[in-house]
Amino acid sequence: MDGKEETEELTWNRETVPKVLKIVSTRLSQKDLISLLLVSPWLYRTLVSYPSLWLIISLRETKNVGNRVMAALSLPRYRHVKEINLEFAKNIDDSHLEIIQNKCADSLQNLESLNLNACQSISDNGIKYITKVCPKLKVFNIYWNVRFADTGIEYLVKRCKHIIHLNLSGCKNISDKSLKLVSDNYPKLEFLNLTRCLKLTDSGLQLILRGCSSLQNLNLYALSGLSDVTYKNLSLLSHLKDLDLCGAQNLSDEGLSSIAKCKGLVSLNLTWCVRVTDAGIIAIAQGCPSLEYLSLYGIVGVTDKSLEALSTSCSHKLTTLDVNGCIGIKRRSRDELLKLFPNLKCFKVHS
Amino acid sequence: MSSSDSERMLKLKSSDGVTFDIKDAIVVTKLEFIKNIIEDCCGDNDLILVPNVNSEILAMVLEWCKKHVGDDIISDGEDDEENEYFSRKKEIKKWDAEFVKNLDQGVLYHLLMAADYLNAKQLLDLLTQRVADMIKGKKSEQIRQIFNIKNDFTPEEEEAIKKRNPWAFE
Repeated sequence: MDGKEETEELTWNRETVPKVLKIVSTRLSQKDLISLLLVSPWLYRTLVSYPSLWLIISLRETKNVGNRVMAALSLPRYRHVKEINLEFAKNIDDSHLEIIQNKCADSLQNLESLNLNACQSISDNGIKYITKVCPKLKVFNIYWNVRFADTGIEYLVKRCKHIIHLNLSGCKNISDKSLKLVSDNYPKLEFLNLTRCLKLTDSGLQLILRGCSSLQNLNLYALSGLSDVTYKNLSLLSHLKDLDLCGAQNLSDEGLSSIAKCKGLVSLNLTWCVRVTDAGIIAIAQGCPSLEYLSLYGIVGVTDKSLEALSTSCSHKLTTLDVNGCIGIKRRSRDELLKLFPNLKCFKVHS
Repeated sequence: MSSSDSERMLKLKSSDGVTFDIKDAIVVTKLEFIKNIIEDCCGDNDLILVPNVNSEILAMVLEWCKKHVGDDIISDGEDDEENEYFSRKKEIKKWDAEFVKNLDQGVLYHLLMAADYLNAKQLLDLLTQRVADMIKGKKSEQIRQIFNIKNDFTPEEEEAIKKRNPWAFE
């Protein structure tokens, strides 16, 4: 190779490639970024010194995660990590979180999002350790964990003052005590998922409805023990956009009429709300013109009148409508629904 | 902008001394770099130097600009105007795909750097996504082959990196 070719090759490898891939790297997944690290030492050095690439650690659905997340956090390029996702990961427990608290505290000072969904070996104790070192946490997901309960929430509200998103779906041991802690400490909460937290009662929900008035997403799926006392007061949530009441067997038309006061509702799941009839749905149609997603699955008390009312107010906005099992509605074939709601894309929500 | 401005011709000079005559209106909305120079110099200076971009690449950038000149016109919402708008959008998308498809990777990379230098956001997006798509899901060795990158690591260095990042390579 002559001198000119050699210079060109050096420029290509040491300047052009790293420069271009630095620009492209912002679009790549973590996995691809790591492949790039091993391509050449020039690329390695360029990428490693670019902090905004290394803000996410994702080890979802992988094994040996406790050790691996500790190893990752010890690397200088993850010093400013913002998001850690360990959803469905295996082999992580409280002991790992204790070591992380002791050794990796510096790296977690900027952590904003932590996903421990289905990490079932983690308990209240583990949360005690981890919350000590991530003061800026905003988003916390810990679904399907029966070892995380009121004590865990106590640690959370004490150390993490900026939570706006809380997913406690399936954390069956959470009680009204937790709801009091949440409503006292997180007035700016925007997202709350309480699916299957069967110990919760109307009293606990009252506190949330009064204390967390910024809520935009509220999920009460499978909380069939709640009553109209709660449902009527949902109207206090003036910013509510997304409401899941699947299985709310006690929800009456009166309760639903009150919910219709949430003018900004975009998504409403009324699957199996078996007491609801036309009166309630008509109230929703009249009150919520921005509705895009609606499930009436299994409600036998609604008729074509409900669909007519809905098509008067949100015929072009509705893109998802599930009326399977609504035997009171006579005209509900796909074509008939498209006539009323021409932008419908999805006809089935509940399986 | 008065009508005389939009008809104004500019001269762009590439790094290898080739001059390109181009209507102001074609480049000024697509290349922030040019827009800023014109604004700063009160439009008196008609010859703009582009020292970081050679003639081959500059010609391609200008070709892209010419194709995209009508992009900023949004349809008024009239039905047949809307149809025309959407079918034009579809046609341009197809053209863009052809534009990037058969590029030699050297040209692709230099074009990307030129788009970055000239602050041509739309063009940069197109090229960046193209390169990203070529990398997605590939192993390091494959990436080296695609982009003709030399593996300068010694076996020891490579081992050391893998050891330091065991968590990523399991």
